[in-house]
Amino acid sequence: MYRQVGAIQDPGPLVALTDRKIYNSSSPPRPMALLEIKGVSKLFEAKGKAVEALRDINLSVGENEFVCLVGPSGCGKTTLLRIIAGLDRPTDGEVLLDGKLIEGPGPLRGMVFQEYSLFPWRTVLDNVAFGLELRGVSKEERLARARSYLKAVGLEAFEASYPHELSGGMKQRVAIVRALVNDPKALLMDEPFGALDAQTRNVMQSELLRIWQEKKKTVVFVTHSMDEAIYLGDRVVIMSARPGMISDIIDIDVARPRNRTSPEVNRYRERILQDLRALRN
Amino acid sequence: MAIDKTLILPSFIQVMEGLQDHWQDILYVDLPVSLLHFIIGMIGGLVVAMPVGMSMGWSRMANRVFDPIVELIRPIPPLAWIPFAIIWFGLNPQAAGFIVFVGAVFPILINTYVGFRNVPRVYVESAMVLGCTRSRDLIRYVAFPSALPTIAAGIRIAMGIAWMCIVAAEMFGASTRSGLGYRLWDCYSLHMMDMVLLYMIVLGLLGLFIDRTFRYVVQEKMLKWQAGLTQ
Repeated sequence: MYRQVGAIQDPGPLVALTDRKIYNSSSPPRPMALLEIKGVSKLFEAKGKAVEALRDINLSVGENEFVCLVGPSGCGKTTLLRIIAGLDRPTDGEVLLDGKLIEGPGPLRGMVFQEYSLFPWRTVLDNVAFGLELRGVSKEERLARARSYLKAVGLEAFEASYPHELSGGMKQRVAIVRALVNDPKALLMDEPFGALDAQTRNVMQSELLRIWQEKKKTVVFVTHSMDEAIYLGDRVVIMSARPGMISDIIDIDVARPRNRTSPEVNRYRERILQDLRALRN
Repeated sequence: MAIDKTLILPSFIQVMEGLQDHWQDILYVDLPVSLLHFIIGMIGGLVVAMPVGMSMGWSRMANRVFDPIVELIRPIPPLAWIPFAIIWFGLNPQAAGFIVFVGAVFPILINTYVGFRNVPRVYVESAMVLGCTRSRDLIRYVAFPSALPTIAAGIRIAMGIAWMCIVAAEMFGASTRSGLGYRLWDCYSLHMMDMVLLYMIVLGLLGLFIDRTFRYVVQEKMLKWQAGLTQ
C-alpha cells in the first residue's frame, strides 16, 4: 500500500509523510501483544523427585498471530499450553491475556486437544452449542449460532450425528468450531491433527488457516512436526527438553497461501532441522 | 405313583388350571404387593446410592469417609436384616421394602462410584476450557452423562438382586400375608406344587418384563449415543 519508492519520488501532503514515517521502519511493527508469558517455570513432583518441566519461559504473542511450538517430546510444550489454558498452574512466573492474569480455565481461551474430546453423549450440534448453553444463551439462538459455525466447516449435514459416527478429521473439525463458537481471544491447539492420516492432516491445516484468517484469532499451536509448523505459523518457537526452554524463535517470512515444497520453505526446514539436531547433541 | 410324579414336577395342564383358578388373586393381590416392595426398595436404593456414590467418585475426601462404612455393611447379606426390619417397621410393606433396599443399594452405589471415578479427564478439561468450571456444572454436564452407562448397569444388577430379596423377605413373612414369594411358600407348605411352579413362572416373567422395560427406556432413549457392537 505504501510503497517506499513512490513515497520518495513524490513527497505528497503532510499526511502521507507521517504515514511513510511509520511504514518505512525496517520490519513491520509487531501487532500488540495479546498473550504475555513472563518467566514461567514449572516443577512436577514425581515419586518424590522434582522434575523441571519448564524453565523461565518468556514469550509474547501478538493479536491475530499464529505461533507454533515445536520441540522434542518431553520439552514441556503441552505443559506450557496447559498453563496458558489455565488447566495447570506455573510454579513461577505468570501468563497475561490482554493484560489480565490467567488464574484458571475459561472460555476466553479455547482449546483443542490431541485426543478426541467431543462429548460422546451429545450430538454434534449440542457439542458445538455447549459453551453457549453454559452462558445461558437461549436455545434458539445457540442452535442457530452453532449451525452457522458447523456450516463454515461443511458439517451441517452431520448436526444430528453422534461423535462415534464421525471420522477423525470430522471430530477435530467439530472440536475446533466448538471452541470458536465461544468467540475466544486465543485458540490453543495441542497437536490437534496428530492422530490423523497425512492426507487428512494437510486438508485440516488448510482449513484451519482459512478459519484463522476469517475469524481473526490468535493461535498457539503445539506440534512435533516442523513441516506443519512452517506451513501454519507466523513464528515458530523451538523448545529444548529437560528442562523445557525456548531455544530459538524463527519468523516464517513466507507469503500465504504457502507452498509446502517451495525452496524458501525448504530453507526454513533446513534451519529448523539444524536447530533440532543441535538440541539433541 | 401319579401323585409322586406331580409332586416332583407338575404337568403343564395342572399349571394352566392353577392359572385359570387363581389368576385374579395373582394379578390383583400378590403382584401389586410384590411390586410395591420392589418399588420401595429400588427408590430407596437409588435415593441413597446415587448421591453417596457420586460424592465418593468425585471427591477423595468423601471416598475416605464413606468407603469404610460401605465396605463394613456391604458383606452383611440382606436377609440377615430381616429380624431388624420386622422390629423397626412391623409386618408391613416397608419391612420387605427395606430388605429390597439393602440388596439394591450396593450395586448402584459401587457402579455410580466407578462411573464417576472413571470420567475421562479430557472431557472434564474440555468442559472447563469451554467455561464449565463450577463443580456442580461439571457433575451435571460431564460426569453424570459420562457415568450413566455404568450407573445403568448397576441399576440392572440391583433390580435382579431386588427381585431375589422380595421373594426371600416375603417367604420369611416380613410383610403383610401376601405377595408372590409369600404365596409361593404358602403353597409349598400345602404341597400344591403346581401353584409353586406357577408363581415361579410369574416371577420369571415379571423379572423379564421389568428388565426389558428398563433396557428399552435407558438403552434406547438415554444411551443411544453409545457405539454398540451389536444392534
